[in-house]
Amino acid sequence: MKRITIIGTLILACSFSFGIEVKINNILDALDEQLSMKSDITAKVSVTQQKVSQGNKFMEMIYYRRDVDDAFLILMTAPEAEKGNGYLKIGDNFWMYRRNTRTFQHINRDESIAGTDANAEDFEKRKLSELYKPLLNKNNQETISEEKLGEIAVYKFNLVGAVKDVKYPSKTYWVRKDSYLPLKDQSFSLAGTLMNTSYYLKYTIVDSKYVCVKSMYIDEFEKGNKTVVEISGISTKKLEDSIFTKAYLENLSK
Amino acid sequence: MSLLLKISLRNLVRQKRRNILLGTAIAFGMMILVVANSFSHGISDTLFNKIIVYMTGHIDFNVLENGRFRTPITRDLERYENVLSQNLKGVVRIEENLSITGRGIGNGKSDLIVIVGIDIKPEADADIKSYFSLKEGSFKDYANASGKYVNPIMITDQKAKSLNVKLYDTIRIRIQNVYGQQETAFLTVVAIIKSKNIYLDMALYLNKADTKRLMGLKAHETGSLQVVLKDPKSAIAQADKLHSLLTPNIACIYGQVSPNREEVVVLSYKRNTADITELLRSIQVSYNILSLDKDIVLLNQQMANKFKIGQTIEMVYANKFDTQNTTLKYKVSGYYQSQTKDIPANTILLSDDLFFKDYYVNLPKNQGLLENTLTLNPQNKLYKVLGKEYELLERSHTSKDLTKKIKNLSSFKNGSAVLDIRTMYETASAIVKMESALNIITLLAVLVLFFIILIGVVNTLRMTIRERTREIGTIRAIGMQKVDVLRSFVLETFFLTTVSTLSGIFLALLVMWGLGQITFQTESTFSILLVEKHLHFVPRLSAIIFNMLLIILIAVVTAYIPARRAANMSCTEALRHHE
Repeated sequence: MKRITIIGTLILACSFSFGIEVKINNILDALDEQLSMKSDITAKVSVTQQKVSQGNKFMEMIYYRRDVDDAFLILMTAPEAEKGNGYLKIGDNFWMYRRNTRTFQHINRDESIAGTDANAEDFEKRKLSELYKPLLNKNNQETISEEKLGEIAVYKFNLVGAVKDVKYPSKTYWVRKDSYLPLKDQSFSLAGTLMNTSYYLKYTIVDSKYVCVKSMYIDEFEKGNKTVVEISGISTKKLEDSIFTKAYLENLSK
Repeated sequence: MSLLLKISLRNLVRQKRRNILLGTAIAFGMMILVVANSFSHGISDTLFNKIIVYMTGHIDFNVLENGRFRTPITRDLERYENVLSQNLKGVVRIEENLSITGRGIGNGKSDLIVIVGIDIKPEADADIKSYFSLKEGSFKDYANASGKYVNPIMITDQKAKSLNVKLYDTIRIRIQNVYGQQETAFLTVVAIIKSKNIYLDMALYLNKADTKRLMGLKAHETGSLQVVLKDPKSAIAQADKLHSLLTPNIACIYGQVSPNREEVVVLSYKRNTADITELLRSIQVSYNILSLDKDIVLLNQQMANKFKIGQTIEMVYANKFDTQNTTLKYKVSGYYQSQTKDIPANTILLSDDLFFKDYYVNLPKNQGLLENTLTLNPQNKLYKVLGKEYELLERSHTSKDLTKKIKNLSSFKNGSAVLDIRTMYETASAIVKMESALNIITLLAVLVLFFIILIGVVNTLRMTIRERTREIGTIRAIGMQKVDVLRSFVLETFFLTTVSTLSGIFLALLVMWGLGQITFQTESTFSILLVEKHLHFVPRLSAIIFNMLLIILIAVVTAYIPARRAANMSCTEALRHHE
């Protein structure tokens, strides 16, 4: 599998060097392939949120994900007020656990997670190539250009939502020419306002897949708000079924 | 009779101090009763006719798509408005519930916002005035007939303060529309209003058309439909009746497929093992639909010579709400052979995921009708396994049932929409319970009051009879009948209670007026019970008269027993009585 991914990426990268037209859909497929982990995962995730109105907020959590049914469990470990709280998703069911009350509360698709802008449906596994399609210009052609982002050669292209229920109706991506890894993207509202700029600052390879371990999200609508996400301690060891249970989350949070 | 009246009145005046004391106690009790009752009615009025009506209506008609319970979408507004107005009794009005939350940025300040879509007439009708009063700007600008303003809004003085905006300033907003897409806009403040309840302070009010546009809705679509009834207490019975009338039709699309514009019917099946197994009793398939793949497209075997497996077919159908056509493309997965006449020969069968992905976006002209074939018969096994225009959820009779039902909504995220009929008794159960608790407290206060009156009257009469025993003997000796003695005592009590209760009512009106003048500067939960930061009393004439008559009746009945004892006294024994 590792060989296929690398060969596929190389073929795609070489095609441009030899003057073969690069198609955005092919880049999206490569992106989906490179970034989709197909194994169980355990990782520590740190989120530093800077909000103009609320100051800085640091959150830390342990993330467990099972590949078979895409179930996951999140246990908050910081800040103190959130410590012991958690989230559990199995199939269509998504629960929030509150340590103080020792209760599980069912969360629906459109509900906010931990008071952030993220909804429960953001955690659903959907491919970029299913959500977006290339934006076509007046001549019905894809808009892809070659640029430099700092010192790195990149492709810049524009996407529009292929389905209606996509959070940002249009996006612009900057992906590395050599590996197609995204380095930056900008997300726009339906009215075309720039809402968010994401920077993917650091990648690591785990089981032949790329994982972005440091990313930064800048809120362009409410200036001054930004979020930095860092992932560490990634393990792809197979996880026990017993982890993805309410009882396990309850025990962990004690 | 006039002699008896004179005797009773004279006796009342004779024992001024005692009767004034008892009368004052009754008047005070009556005053408390009227004040408590009016306060309780005031709270009920605020809860039922302002907060609940504003929040959910008495009956709430919700169509939910994709498991999103916060953003209901009613696609065929006119159809369902007709269903509601034709089948519900005592409908005051049917409101479109258009509201969406987001974030707003004013002049250097940002805050959470709720945009509520309402239309008001330029002269502002009485109903709007019961919720708001205008401080600055004009309702004419809000109506925006000239189109001068971009998204003109009314904003409460509190919200204007939190966003630091003044009249004609603009607010930048970020919201998430009904599809979950991020949307941004500028709103122009054209009216600053003062809300009559703190509950209304959160919202920014925008006209319906602009709100729909921001929410991603078309003119024929809306959020939920909220029904306000003349008699809110009939909500459960009426909702149950409505629910029984809303059996859904099979969802189908009549269209034409290229290249020969052949007429086809597109139906869907529910993508789960149990329903597919049931479907397979009626059809034979060349593709394993039990694989539960999302993108399955099955053609009738008769179409096999025209369309090959893997071929993409293009289907066109006429939209219901405009003159446009919708074109859909499907990739043929396999064929089926029908063993039932219920499925027409020109039917294309799709998995519900694939079918409903497009169905609601542009409803077909023949929405939900499968003519001359599978008629609306819920007993038919095919009816159960084919996709319907909506899935009708069971009525929930408690808020606990409703929570449970909402929990299961995510299982509908890929199929048809769900329709849920709710009443305020489930959606606003906390408020309904609060109202019931207040009524119980008032009732307890009334019972205590009645007990005090009872003891007071009995005690006073006992003392009076004891003091007047010789007098009773004298008047009996000179010819007064037993019944007249009894009547004189009862009449005395009647006059005393009548005058006292009337005084109590007068006092209560004075107290309510006084309490109503106090301004409460609180932002606690208690403040939702206030109207314009003042206590809200709703005295009802019928309740006052009823309470007054009840007190008089209790007093008279209580007086009857000692009065009868006095009347039955032996004349000689009474004359001999000495203290």
